[in-house]
Amino acid sequence: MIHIKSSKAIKNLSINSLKMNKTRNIIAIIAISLTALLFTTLFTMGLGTMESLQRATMRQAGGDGHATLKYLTDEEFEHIKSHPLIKEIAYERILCKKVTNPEFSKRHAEFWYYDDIGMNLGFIELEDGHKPAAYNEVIVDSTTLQLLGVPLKVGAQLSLKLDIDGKEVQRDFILSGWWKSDPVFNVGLIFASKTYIDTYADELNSTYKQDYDPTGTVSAILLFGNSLDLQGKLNKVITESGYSLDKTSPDYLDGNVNWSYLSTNFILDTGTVLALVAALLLVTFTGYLIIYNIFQISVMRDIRFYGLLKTIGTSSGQIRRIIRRQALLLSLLGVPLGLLTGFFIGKSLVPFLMNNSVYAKAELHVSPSPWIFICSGLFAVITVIISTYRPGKIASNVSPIEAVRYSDGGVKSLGRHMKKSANGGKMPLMARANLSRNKKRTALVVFSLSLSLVLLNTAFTLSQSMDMNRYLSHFNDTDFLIAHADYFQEDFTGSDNATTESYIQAVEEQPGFEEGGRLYSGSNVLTIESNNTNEGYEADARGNLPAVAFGLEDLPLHRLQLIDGELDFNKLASKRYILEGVPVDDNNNPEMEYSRFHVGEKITLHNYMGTIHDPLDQKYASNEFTVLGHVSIKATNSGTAAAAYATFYLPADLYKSLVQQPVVMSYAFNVSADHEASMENFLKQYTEIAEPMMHYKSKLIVRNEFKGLQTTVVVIGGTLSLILGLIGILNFANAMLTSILTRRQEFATLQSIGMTNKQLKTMLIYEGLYFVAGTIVCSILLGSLFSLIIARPLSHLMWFMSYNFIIWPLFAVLPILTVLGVVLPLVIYSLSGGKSIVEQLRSAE
Amino acid sequence: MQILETTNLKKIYGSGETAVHALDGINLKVENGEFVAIIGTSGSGKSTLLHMLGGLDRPSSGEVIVDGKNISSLKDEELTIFRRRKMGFVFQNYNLVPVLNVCENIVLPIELDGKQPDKSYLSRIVNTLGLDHKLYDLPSNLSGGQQQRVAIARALASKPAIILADEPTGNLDSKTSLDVMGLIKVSSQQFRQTIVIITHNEEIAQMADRIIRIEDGKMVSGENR
Repeated sequence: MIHIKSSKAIKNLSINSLKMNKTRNIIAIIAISLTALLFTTLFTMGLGTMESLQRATMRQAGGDGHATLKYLTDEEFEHIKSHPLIKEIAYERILCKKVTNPEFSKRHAEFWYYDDIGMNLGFIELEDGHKPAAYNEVIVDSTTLQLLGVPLKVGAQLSLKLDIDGKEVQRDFILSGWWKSDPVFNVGLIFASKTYIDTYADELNSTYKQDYDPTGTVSAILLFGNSLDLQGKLNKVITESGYSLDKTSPDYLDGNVNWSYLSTNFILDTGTVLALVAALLLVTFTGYLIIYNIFQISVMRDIRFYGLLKTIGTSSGQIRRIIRRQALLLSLLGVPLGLLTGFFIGKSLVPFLMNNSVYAKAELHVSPSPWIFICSGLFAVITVIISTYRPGKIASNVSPIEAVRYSDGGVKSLGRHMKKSANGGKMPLMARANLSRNKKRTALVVFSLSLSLVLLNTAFTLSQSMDMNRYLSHFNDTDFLIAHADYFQEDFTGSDNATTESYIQAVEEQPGFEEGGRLYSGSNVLTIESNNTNEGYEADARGNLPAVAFGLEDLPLHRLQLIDGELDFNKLASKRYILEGVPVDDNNNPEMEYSRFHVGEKITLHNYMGTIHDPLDQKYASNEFTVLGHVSIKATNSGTAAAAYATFYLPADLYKSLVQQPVVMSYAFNVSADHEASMENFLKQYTEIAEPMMHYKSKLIVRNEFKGLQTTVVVIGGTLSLILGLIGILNFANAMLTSILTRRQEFATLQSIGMTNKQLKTMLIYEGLYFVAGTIVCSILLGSLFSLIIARPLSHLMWFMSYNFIIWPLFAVLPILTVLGVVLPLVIYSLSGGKSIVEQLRSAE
Repeated sequence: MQILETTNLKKIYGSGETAVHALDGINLKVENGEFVAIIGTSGSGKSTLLHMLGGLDRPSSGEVIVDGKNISSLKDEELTIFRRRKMGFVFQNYNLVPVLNVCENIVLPIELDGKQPDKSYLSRIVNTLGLDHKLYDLPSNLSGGQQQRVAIARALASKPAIILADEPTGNLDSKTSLDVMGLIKVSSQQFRQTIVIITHNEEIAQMADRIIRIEDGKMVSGENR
């Protein structure tokens, strides 16, 4: 059998017929690039957020090494480093127990030696200067330098107080370089040189195994071939190097894997995957709507050409290939254009996504990963191929004889023969009849325009369903809550980070102050007698479990939320009753399974009255209480960083009599409405200048957080619907252009029998307005449906949302749509016009 | 009474050496109620002449006077309105509006003028042309001859001063052509309608009251009655 090489002919035909369709090509390229743009935006946002989150967690963890072995001696390090599983290993040595300069009381600083690999893995990139070389050279992060009051200048002098072997030693250093502090990493770092280690070798001999002093111990950061089964690999390295995993063994090595790798799969939860798949489908569908439409129209217009090709012997497959080839050639231009613009749009949207996460302060990293472009490009091309499948089929199935008679929107596609009316000559009716010539295309255009509106409406529904009051009440009981900065980092422990009386006093003296109340608490203050020992809480020497209690002054006490039992302040004042705290979920429903005692049950609290080091020597006081009721533990009345078997609430006076050294955890207060702003300003200034360790939380801060959240939803939803909208408008313009071009001759007829230009334009405007009307009806229906079946369940999932049915965004864009419906047909008509009636009549013959 | 008159009508396409004289000084007079056929080979200028008469195109020089009005002096929009009141067109390819049914197509020029159609007059036209059973059909459901009859009805509906037909039988077989021509002739008599048709078919032309022959843009016979 002779195999004819037809590919060259096909290539020629595709390229030549491509050249014939300039207008279609431009529209198709725009459509394809918009589709690619949407895909890229999505992928960039997805991957960019993932990347930024992962990097942020890594930096919090202090580096991107896979695992760390801690408290090693030099010999142990040498022993381990050649293990075959280890791809890279960093050597890091801690040079003193503590840096004791008073400037570091708020933010600790550590004094280390890092080798080059260590600096790489720890993301240390010098802004200025060089790595330390001489024994008295150090490099330091910028925040630490600022705390010390040292200028960010190479060659600056600095003096460190080091705790070495329990003695404070002061040493002077020269700054050889500095780097910008990472805001998510809350510890200052000072690195000395290798020469420093050699110079002070004798004080760096590790005595960790005797007295747990880390000075001189080595931390090894390990990097394996990949990040799978890190714990297994770490264990293997330890055991195969001849060490033990058993804590009690003398050969025990302490190690842990980098938790940022463990938490990387967070992004792949079902919800995220579903959202991503839904978004991808939506984009594919949108792209399909327009690309299909464009090719379908152009195939219809060229149907005679394809009929001719068939007459002279082109096979169906070849015709399909011609069309697919054209589409791919157009993609060659459109896709890269979309990829590029999409990446930048996506990149600029990532900050909005990250804005409200814990990582808000983190530096954003959206690198142009090849995956973004590969995936988006692939999806775009697949969409193009799917979209051109049917038009290709139509063109390839046409019979040569039929093709000659085929005319778009003409005889055959009407599908009906009778029309019982006598006033179809009226402009609006004629316009409507014109739209029903190709019902499917009209539907596609209307649908494509509606999609963006529905998305817009959904975005607004979600943002409007966010309930500010719910959000506020979750974080704020009172207008303001002030405390030590650590408290707001969820790191309040006790007297180390108590709220100062001076701070409270300053606040009380402010104008507009109305009422306030202290909340007392602390960790390791109380224990409770319990028979329950298998709960995972470590009992103390007497067999008691840790408990946390909060002593509340009147304002916070009266704001407690009762779950069951009674909230009788007189009974509480009698010192015989206590309230048990029960955690609540995000929707404020109590999680009673965490309550330990029944209402009416008697409990015994003990308090330590000595040091923790000799547990049995402690004086020991016991108090018996009856549980009066259960109250909710809320963000505003809790916050002690300690594991507790049970949580209790008592009046402040009772609490103070119970513990030896009561500590103020926080102070809640209200101000008169007209002084909210001035109090806010005062607190801002006060916590910056007078007591920088103190911090505050106000309704205003929470309100801003909330607004930010709303903005995020609106900006992202809005941007995506804007792009979808552009696609819709393009589709509309394309449909309008085609219908005007194909009806040229009909227009000429109408004009020759006396239709004025004005009447013709009126008819076209009516057609445009019918599209708009259809779009509005369709998007109201779909928008309501979406609101009810997508947005409502979503709002129920989020505790701070209360579903709110809205449809006004649709009406808000109505004027824009109307203008489009009027202007677009007119512009297209005047652009396509210019020929005289005679010429237009002739062109048909 | 003359309903249509041209004086020294010229249409020149292009200029200088490549100038084509499509019409070269046509002086034509058509009486009220007359049925005139203009005949000529293709390229003789007969279609151009018809376009000039219908105000679809403007002459290079000379005048076209319809019902006493010099139409070359009218502005575009005025011309359109004049056309829909005073002229009816019948085209070779019928040019019906596909989304309107027969009845709507026929009254379209009247409605475009914002007027109410004369019902009894319309039913006479429809009966004469044998369209009374097809009033609510869409053009796609009609044969070529039927479509052309609708086009004739449309041209007659607004009681124009003159009907211009451009190869009205060009797309029809010979039997249907004669039927249609018969109907045109009957209409011209019954409704006292002035009709000018263009054709290259001698046999068709024979049915007219007068035959005007055009060659190379000039009238060669049939000047005036």
